Amino acid sequence: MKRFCPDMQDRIIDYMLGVLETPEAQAVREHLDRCDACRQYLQRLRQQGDGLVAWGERVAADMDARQDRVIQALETVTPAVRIVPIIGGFVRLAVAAVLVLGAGVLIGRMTAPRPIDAEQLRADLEASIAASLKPALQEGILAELDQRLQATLASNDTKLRVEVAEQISRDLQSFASRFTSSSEQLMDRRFAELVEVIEAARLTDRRQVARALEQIRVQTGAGLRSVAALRETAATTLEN
Amino acid sequence: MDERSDRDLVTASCGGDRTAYAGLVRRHYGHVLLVCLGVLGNVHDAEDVAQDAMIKGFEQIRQIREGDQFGGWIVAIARNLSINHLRKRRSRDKALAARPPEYSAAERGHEGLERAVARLPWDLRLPLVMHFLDSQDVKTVAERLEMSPSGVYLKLRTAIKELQQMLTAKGDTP
Repeated sequence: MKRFCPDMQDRIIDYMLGVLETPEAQAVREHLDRCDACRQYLQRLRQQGDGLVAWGERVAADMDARQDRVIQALETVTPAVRIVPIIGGFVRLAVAAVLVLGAGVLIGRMTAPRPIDAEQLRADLEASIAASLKPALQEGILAELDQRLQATLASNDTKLRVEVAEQISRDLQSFASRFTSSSEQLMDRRFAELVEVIEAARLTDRRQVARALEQIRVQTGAGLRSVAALRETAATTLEN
Repeated sequence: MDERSDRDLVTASCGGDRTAYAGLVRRHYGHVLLVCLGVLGNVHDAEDVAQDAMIKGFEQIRQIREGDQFGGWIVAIARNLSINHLRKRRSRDKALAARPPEYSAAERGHEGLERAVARLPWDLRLPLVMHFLDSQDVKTVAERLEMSPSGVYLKLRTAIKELQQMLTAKGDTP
């Protein structure tokens, strides 16, 4: 069996279903006239359709009997009771009124301002107060901190100054004491050395003076002797 | 056949008039049965579910707001019941590990066609059955199934193609 043209399959089915427009249907007919395989395919489709229709007819053939069975089965069935019709006109009106009032209340609740929620309000107020006071509180805290810091610094400064002064004083005293002590020792040593030097110089001077005196004495004795000799010479001369 | 309109028959049925509802059964049962057949794929199950649908329709007849919409309303009930039945059947078959029957090439005639139809997916089978077995035009099928006509055409085309493929493979061309 030659296979139909694959690109024509959908159009052949549409042609069988009768959904193609006239030009398209004419084109399919022209193709079918010259293509045996596609013509056979259409024939098989039509047989298939006929078989389905025939099946429907077979099903429909027993329809009366089936309907009878259904109607017979309905003997024990009654329509389910609906609540609203039984309630009656008056109750229905009452229900309608309740519904209308309920809707009114609902709409009113939806449109009216909401009741005050104390907790929510409190939370909002807390948040608002916190938000508004926070900068002021922060500023106050900062100012107070600054003041405390300044006061602390001032007191610390004074105290520090006193302490520094005391410390300096103590250090100076200590230094002075150490310096005095050391200088006294040094002075003592120097003084001793000076005394020694002076003593040595004095001894030297004394020796020199002694020598000078000795020399003077010696020279004086020689002079005197010269003078005496001269006097004796002079005297001799005179006598002569 | 009761000549009254659907609206009148529904109104009478709401009052418990079984005769009026029997008129609705005579008028609409065929469509209901074929919708059930379209979903379920075999007449036996379709009869059971179609009967359940008609009974349920009578029980709930007072829920219809517009009596002339009974046709679409009862078909919707039948389709939903059929889909539920199909799900239960598939669960049962799955639990029993049932396999779909294999058809031999020797099977000829309408039985082969019906079995091939039964093997189609239900969403393809339903428009096929409504169109060919119930002779409903595409527009009516689309309204009943709440689909677009183009969607119905597409499903019909696919169903016809798959059905022909199955029948050709088995040599079951009717």
